[in-house]
Amino acid sequence: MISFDFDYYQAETAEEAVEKYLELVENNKNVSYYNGGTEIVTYARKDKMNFDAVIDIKNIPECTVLEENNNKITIGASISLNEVVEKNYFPLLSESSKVIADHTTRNQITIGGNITGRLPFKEALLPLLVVEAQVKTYGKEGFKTRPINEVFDKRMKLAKEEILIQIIIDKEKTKLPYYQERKVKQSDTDYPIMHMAALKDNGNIKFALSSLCAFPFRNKEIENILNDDSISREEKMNQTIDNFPVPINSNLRGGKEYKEMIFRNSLNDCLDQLRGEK
Amino acid sequence: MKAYTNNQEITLKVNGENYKVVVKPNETLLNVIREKIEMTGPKPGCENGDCGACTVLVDETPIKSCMALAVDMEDKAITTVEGLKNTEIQKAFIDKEGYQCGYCTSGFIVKAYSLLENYEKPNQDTVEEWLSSNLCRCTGYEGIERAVNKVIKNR
Ligand code: FES
Ligand code: FES
Repeated sequence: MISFDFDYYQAETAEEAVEKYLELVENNKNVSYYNGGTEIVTYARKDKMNFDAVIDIKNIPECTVLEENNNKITIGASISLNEVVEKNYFPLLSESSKVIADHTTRNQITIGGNITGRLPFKEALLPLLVVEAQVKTYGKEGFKTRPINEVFDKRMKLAKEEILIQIIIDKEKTKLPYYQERKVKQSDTDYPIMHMAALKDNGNIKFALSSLCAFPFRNKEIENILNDDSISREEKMNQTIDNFPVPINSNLRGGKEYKEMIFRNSLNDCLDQLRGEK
Repeated sequence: MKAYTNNQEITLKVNGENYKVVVKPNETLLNVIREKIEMTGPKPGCENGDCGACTVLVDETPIKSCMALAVDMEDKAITTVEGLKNTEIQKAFIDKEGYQCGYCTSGFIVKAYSLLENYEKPNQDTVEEWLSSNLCRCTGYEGIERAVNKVIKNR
């Protein structure tokens, strides 16, 4: 049970959802979009989130698309993580998604919710950053399609009323060799200590990381270091850590030094696998 | 656009029967099933998505009812453990003592039922993947595993 009252609207189109959002905000209401609901319901129950209304977007037809055609894979924002895994159009995304939470919860967590929500891990985002996916959104200015790497910076930088509608992926890139590693403290269903995803594209590693620092990131400087044959393995690791956008954080899942060790081991395995380096 | 504000009558279809209930948007499916439909099979364990004691099927898919809003469930078919009476898996839980205090049992039965509906003969990795959505504080999971394996072996 959630301790405060709110109104619930079920949108049938993106236009309707945004119109309702703007109308409610105009009337000084605090509004949240609602997709799978896992994060909103649990946060609201703990009074960590408050709103006057939610607008459910998961019945918007474009948000429920999951298809592979021509050269594209289209994943609607309301597709559950289990559906992503079962269809397996993009194996790296399946690997990164099937380790999030637990099997039942993955029926409720949507891919859109995972990457736009409040939780900092956003594990399904990592494959999308390295595959250079596009995101289709709808807001005041209508539909827009942009590279996810331009929209994501610490969080998805969407306008307040803007809805993530779809993720579009170049099919060819989903066949590239990849590396994925997720480390947890105890149980597989724990939040991660570290989640790493990398692709090898034209001999070069594209690399994204979550959970080690305060937010997920993909960073060009780090990729330049990882792909530089003149740098020793040890030096690559040191320089990679030096180039993190923020330092590794210590928390209950692990201290900074422990997390750094976990990261070094995984990066070692990643480079072994994708660069064939010794 | 459907709008739900304050107290409103909705119809929930649970175990094949329609129930008219008056709910507010802030009520979880778990609360409404227990308090308003008066089926106490789904249990409030953590009410935070962690334990699986509240698991029900919605259109044949297992979900944690503590993380769903009742107003979001109109026009969907909900199945609770009460709807799984005399199923093979329920009997196997009894035969193989898949419970001690029984608090987690209804969630486990619902989840295991769904697993066995989706896979004729699931392998151990699949069984583990599905059932690790649920926590049991008593049994050490052995009886639960025996119950699920009994159904698989009998197929
Ligand atoms: S009560 Fe719902 S998962 Fe624990
Ligand atoms: S039998 Fe007691 S919690 Fe499982």
